[in-house]
Amino acid sequence: MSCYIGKIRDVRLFLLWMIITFMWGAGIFLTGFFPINNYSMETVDGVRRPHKLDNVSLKPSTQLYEQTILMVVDALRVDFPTQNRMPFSYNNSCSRLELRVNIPTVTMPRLKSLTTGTISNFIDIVLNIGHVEQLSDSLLHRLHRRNENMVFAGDRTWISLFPKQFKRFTANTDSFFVNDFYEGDKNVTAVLNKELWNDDWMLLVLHYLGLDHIGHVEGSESSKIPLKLKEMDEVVQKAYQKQLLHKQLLLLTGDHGMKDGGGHGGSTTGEMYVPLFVLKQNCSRKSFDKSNEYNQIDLAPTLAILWAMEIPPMSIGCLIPQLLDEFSLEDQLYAYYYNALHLLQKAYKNFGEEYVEASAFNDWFTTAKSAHKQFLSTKRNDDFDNNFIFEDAKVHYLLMSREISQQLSASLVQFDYGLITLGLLLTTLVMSNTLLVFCLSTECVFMQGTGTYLSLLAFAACINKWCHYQHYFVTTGFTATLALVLALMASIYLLINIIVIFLWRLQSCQGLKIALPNQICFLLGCLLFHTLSLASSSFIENENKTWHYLGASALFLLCVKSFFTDLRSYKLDTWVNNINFYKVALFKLLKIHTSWIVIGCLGFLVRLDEAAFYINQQKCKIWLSCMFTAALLLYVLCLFQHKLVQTRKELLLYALAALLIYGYRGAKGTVYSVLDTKSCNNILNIFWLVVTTAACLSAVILNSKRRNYQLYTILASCFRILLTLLLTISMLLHKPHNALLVATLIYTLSLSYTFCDKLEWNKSLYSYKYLSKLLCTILIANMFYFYQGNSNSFATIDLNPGYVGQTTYNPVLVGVLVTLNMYSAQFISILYLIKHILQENDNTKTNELTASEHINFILYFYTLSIFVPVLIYLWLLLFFRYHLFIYSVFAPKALYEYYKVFVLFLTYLMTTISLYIFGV
Amino acid sequence: MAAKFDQQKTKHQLFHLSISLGTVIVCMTYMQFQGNWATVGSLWSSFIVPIVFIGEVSKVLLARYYSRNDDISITPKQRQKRASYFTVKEICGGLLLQCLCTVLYAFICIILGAPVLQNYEQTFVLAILLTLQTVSPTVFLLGGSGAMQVCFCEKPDTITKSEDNALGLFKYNAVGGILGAWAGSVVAPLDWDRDWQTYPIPNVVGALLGCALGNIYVCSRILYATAKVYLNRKRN
Repeated sequence: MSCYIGKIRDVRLFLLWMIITFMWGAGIFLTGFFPINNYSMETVDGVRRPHKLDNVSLKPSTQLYEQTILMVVDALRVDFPTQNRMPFSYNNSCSRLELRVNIPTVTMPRLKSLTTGTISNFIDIVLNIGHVEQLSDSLLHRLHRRNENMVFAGDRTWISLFPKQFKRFTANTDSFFVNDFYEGDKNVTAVLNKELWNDDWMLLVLHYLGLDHIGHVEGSESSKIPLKLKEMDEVVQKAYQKQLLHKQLLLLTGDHGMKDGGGHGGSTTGEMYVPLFVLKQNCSRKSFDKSNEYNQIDLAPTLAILWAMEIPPMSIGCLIPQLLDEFSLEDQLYAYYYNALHLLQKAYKNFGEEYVEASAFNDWFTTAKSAHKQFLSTKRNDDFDNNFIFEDAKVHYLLMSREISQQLSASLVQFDYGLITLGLLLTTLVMSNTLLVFCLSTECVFMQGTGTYLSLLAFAACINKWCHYQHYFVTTGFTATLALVLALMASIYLLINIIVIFLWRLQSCQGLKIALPNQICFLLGCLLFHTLSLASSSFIENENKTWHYLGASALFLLCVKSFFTDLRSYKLDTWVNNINFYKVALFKLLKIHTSWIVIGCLGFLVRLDEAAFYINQQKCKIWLSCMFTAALLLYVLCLFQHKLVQTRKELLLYALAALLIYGYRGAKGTVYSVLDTKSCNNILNIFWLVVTTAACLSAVILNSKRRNYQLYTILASCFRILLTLLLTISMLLHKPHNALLVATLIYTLSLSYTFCDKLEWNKSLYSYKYLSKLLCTILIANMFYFYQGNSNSFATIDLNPGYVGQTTYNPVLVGVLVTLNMYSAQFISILYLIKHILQENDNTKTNELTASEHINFILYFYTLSIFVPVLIYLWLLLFFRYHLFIYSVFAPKALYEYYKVFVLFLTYLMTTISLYIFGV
Repeated sequence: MAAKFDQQKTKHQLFHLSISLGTVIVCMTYMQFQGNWATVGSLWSSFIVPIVFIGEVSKVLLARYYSRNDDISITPKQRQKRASYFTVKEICGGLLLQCLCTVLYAFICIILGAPVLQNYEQTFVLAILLTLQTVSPTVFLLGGSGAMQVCFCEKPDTITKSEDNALGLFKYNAVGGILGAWAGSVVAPLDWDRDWQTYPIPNVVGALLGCALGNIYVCSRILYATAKVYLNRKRN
C-alpha cells in the first residue's frame, strides 16, 4: 500500500473512468439479475368469452351471486382463524382454503395480485416505489365498465389503486398511523351496517387494518389479537345473518400474513399463507380439503367467472374448483375451458409456438377438449350428465392450467446469465485494475491512441456477434448492442492493462511492504468485517447496528488510546507522587469531557429512530419543538466553533436562515409556532434568498482577501462555503427530530480527527495519519447515514424532502433533494475531510506531499472502499440467487449498493470540479 | 541458548493459569447444568459472579503466597509501602476505583447498544464481570493507588518479583475478557431465535471464553519456553 498514489499523473481522470466503467458493469449485472420484463405492462385484450369449442357451440355461464362481500383483513395469517378464535366463521364456512401469496408481502402489490391475477416482478416494484400507480385493467375496472355499483370501506391503498371505480367509499385517513387499533375498524363496520340495508351494490369491499397494526406494534403474540379476531368474527356473523335475503357470497381472506415477530414484508411461512373462507347460503357440499394449495392469483380469474366476466388480461392464475361447485356441470366445464384457453394464449405469447406445441400441456388440452365435447354431446342429445367424462375433462383442464400458471410465474423470475457474466467480469476487472494501481502505484494506463481504441472496438464487436450467435446474449436493438459492445471493449482493454501491469511488476521487483499501525489495522478490520457480514441476511437487515457497534467501538478505542498517549507524555516531567497523579488523571479526564459528551450522544442517536415514533406524536409536540430548537442552536454554535463562517455578518445570516427553517416547520404544523400554514412558501423564498446572500457575502469577503492568502487557503475557504451551504440545506431537508444529526456529525468528525492527531505518528508512518482519518470518516458517515432512519429496505426511503417547497411534481428535483437528504452524511463528511486536509496542510508545511496529493490519495482510497464491498456483494448475490430471501432482503440491498456507487460518482464530481477550477 | 530458567516463577505462572482456566471451566459446567439461560444475566440467582470472584481472589492469594519468598530481598521502603495496602484509605480507594470501573463498563455497554431501561440488571452483571476480570485482581494485589499507577504509567518500583509476575498474567486475562465480550455481540443480530441469543448471555460467555483463550495463549508460550529449556538441558 502506498500513499504516493497521489503523485501519479492524471490519477483523477483515471479514477473518473474507473467509476463510470464500474457503474456500467454493475448496471449490466443488475439488468441481467432483474430482467425488465414488459410482461406485466403489456396492454393486450384478453381472450373474449368463447362461444364455440372447435365446432360445438357453447353457452356462456351466467352470474351466480347477485351480491358479493369481499372482506380483507390485513395480515390475517392462516393459523389465526381457528375454531376457538373465530368460531362463527369457522363453523359456517362452506370451504376453508389456504392461499399462497407472493413476495413482497406488503399490501399494495398484494391487492394488485388479488384484482388482476398476476404477480409483480421485482423491478416492477422498484420502479413503482413511492408513487402508487393506478391500474389500467382489473376485475374492478371491468365491473365499473359494466355499470355495476361497488362500495368500499377501509384502507386507502384501494382508493389510490382504484380512484374512480367505487360508487361510495370511506377510506381510513391514514393507513400508516399504526397506533390506531380500533377506530378505523369501527368506521368500516359502521359502513357495513349501513350498506347491508342498501341493495344497489354488487360488490362490497371491506379492508380491516386493525390486526395489522396490532401485529406491527405489539407482535403476533399480543393479547389483543384474540380480541380483534373476535371482533372480525362478529362482523362476519352480522354480514352473514343479514344477507339471507339475497343470493350472496361472502369471502373472508387476508392480503398477506404476519411473521412470528409481528411484522410482514419478508418471505417466512407465516407471511406467505393466508386463509380463504367462503361463506354462502345453503352450502350444499362442505369441502375442507387441504391437499390442494392455491395461489392468491387464482382468486381473480375465479371471481371473474363467478361474476360472468372476462378474465383480466394479465391474469396467470387457475381456477379454484371449490368456489365453482354451485354451477351446473356444463357451466363448470365452460369455466375451465375458458381459463385454459386464456392461459394457453399467454403461453403462446411468452414461450413461442414451437415450445407450446411440443409441451405436455398441449396434449392435455386436446384430451380435455375431446372429453368436453363428448360430455356436451351426451348432455344435449340425451340430457344426461355423465360424471365420469366430466371428471376426465375437468382434471385435464386443471392439470394444464396449473402447469402453465407455474411456468408463467417462474418465467417472471429468470436470470439472464449472459449479462450477469459480462457485468461481473467488467466490475471485477475494474476493481482489480484499481487495486493493482493502488498497491504498486504504477502508471495507470499503458495503451492510448485512436488506432488502439478502434481495433478494440472491432474486436469487441466480433465477440458480441459470436456471443449472439451462440445465444449467450439474447438482447436486440441498437442501444442494447452498443452497451454490450462498449462493455466488452472496456473489459478487453482492462484485461490487457492488468497483464501489462503484471509484466512490468515482474521486471522491477519492488518488495511490497505492509507495515501498518495498529489502529489502522483495527479500522480496516472493521470495514472488512462489515463487508463479510453482508453474506448474512440478518446482518443486512441490522446493518445500522453493525455500523454503530463498529464505529462506536473504534471511536472509543481511539479515545482511550489518545488519552493514554496524552497522559504518558505529561507524566514524564511532572510525575512526583500518587496524590499528584490522581489530580493529573482527573484533570485530564475533565479536559476530554467533550469526547464523553459526543460519545454519549452517539448512544442516544442510535436510539433516535425508535424514539422518533414517540416524539412525532401530537402530544409530544412540545418535546419535538425543544429538540428542533436545540438542534438549530447547536448548528449555529457548530458554525461558530468550527470556524465555518468567518465574519459576524455571515453568522448572523446563517442564524437567520436557521430561524426561517424553524418558521417553515412551524408553518407546516410539526412544531409550535406563531405563523399560519399559508406562509409556508413565503418563508421558503426568504430562506433561499438569505442563504444565497450569505454564500455571496462569503465569496465577496474571500475575494477581497485573495491577495494575502495562499492557494490552499483559498481552496479551503471555497470548500468551507460549500460545506456551510450543504449543512444549511440539510438542516432544511431533515425531519425535525433528525436535525440534531447535522451538527453532531461535524462534532464527531472533528473529535475523531483530534484523536487521530494525538496518536504517536513517527516519521515513516506520518502519511498514514490521513488514512486513519479517512477510515474514521467512512465509519462515522455510515453510522450517521443509518441514524437518519435509513435502512436496507425500500420502506424507509423518505420522500418528503423531495417536496419541500414544491407545488408541482418535478421528478429531477425530487430525486436530487431526496438523494441530498438521504446521503447528506456521506456528502458532508467527505467535504469536511477535504476541508480539514486543506486547512491543516496550510498550517503545517512539514509534509513531503502537498494537499492535493493527499486529496488524490483520499479520493482513491475512498473509491476503493466502496468498490470492494460492492463487488463482493455482487458475487454473493450470484451465489445466493436461489436463497429464500433473495428478493426480500438481498435484492433491495443490491440496488442500494448500486446507488451508493452513483453517490460516490456525485461526490467525486463535486470535489474534483472545485479542485479543477483552481487548477490544483 | 542460556535463558535463565526460574523454576519458582514458572511454577507460580502455571498454578495461576490453572486457577484461571479452572474458573472458566467451573463457570461453563455450572451453566451447562443450570440449563436455564435466563438466569445468567440476573445478579442474585446466578453463581457466575461469585465463582469468578473466588477465582480472582485465589489468584491474588497465590501471588501473596509466592511473594513470601521475596521477603528477603525487599527494601524497607517497599515493606512500608506494602504495609499501607491495608489502611482504610487504600481500601476505600480500591473500592471506589472498582465502582467507577463498573460504571464505565456499563456506560460503554449502553453506548454500544445495550437496552437502557428494561435490562439494567443484566448490564450491571456484565459490567461487574468485566471489572472482576480486568481491574479487581490488580486492586486486590496492590491497592487502589498501586492499581492506578500500574494502569496509567509504568510499574511502580515497590512491587516484588512475584507480584510483577502475576500482573503480567492479569494483563492477558483482562484483554481476553474485554475482547471476548466485545466479539460476543456478533450473534445478536442473527435470526436463529435461540434462547441463548438474548443479551447479555453471548457477552458473558464471550468474556469467559476470551479470558480462557488469553490464558491458553500464555500457557502455551510458557510451556514452549519450559520445553525448550528442558530440551537444552538434556542435550547438555
